Amino acid sequence: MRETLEEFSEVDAQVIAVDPHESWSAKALLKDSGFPKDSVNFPLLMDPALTVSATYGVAFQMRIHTEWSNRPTTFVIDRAGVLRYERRAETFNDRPSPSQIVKILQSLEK
Amino acid sequence: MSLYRVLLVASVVSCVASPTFAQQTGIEKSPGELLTTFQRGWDESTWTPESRRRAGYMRPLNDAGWKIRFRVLQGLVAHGRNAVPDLAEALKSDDVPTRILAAQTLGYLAQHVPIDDLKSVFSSESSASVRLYAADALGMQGNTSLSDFLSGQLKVAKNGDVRRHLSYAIERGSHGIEPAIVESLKNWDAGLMDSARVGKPAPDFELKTVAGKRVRLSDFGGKQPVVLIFIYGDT
Repeated sequence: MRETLEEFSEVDAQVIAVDPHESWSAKALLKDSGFPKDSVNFPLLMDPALTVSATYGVAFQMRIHTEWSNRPTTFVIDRAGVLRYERRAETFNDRPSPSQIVKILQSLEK
Repeated sequence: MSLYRVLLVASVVSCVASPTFAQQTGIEKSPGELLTTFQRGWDESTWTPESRRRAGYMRPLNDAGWKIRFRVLQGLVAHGRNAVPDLAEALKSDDVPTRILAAQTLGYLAQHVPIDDLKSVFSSESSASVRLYAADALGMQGNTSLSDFLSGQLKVAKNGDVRRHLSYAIERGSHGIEPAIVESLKNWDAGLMDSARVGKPAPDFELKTVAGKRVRLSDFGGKQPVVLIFIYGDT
């Protein structure tokens, strides 16, 4: 993940993550997964009312074990604020690779 | 509306101006009608034994059931205490997805919730999902006098997810569901639902970081491209 962030900074992009949990729950999850809070060096945004998740069309689309949650999805937005890329997961862990995202970012700059 | 509440609403991490409330929330429907809408629109036929074995089951990409779930949840929460009798009844429905939705919704209605109905889920309920959302809903009460009950359930619970959510409910102690979160859900403009499209401006929003700092998507406008990642907790 850290390497990924370094690659992204080379192409001067900002990574933002949106988490559907309340902040206390997100903190507990970060702790449970051995991720000290200070080491998250990109904005980890809380969307506990799921309004942004619903706006982006990802809410309540994945059932992980026994809970309904967001479909894992990656968007790329260009400097002008236009949505240029989306990948909505069809299976768990269906994400573009960091190098794919870097390529997309580089293609935006051309 | 008290000043306190106005300030809470103003502090909400919401991305939109208030819509016409009745039109946008589906509150023109009664709680019972909303639950029926959910039952008609939420199809679980793709939730198969095979999909259950996967770490995460995805609804089909073209499925609209989640939108109905969201509108119904929003409408029921907007009804507030008036939705509680129907939701308490829905906890006893024969339909498992209805029981799950009822337990989930009752979390947001914290101060109006019949605690005993939520507690009884742990003695009568066969679905781990319902027990999980009931654990969440009890935690969202922010009532530390429930911790003995929750600890007792944790001792006997076998399902790992239910155990984890019972632990979270105990851990959150007096931190009930924030009124600002409930207001944000109620006031969200449902016209924005599923409005992100490639080639169009990305819908703007403002949210708080886990550390409490406000971040607005458009803050990056003109400066940097943004890689926007929607995660489930740790993925």
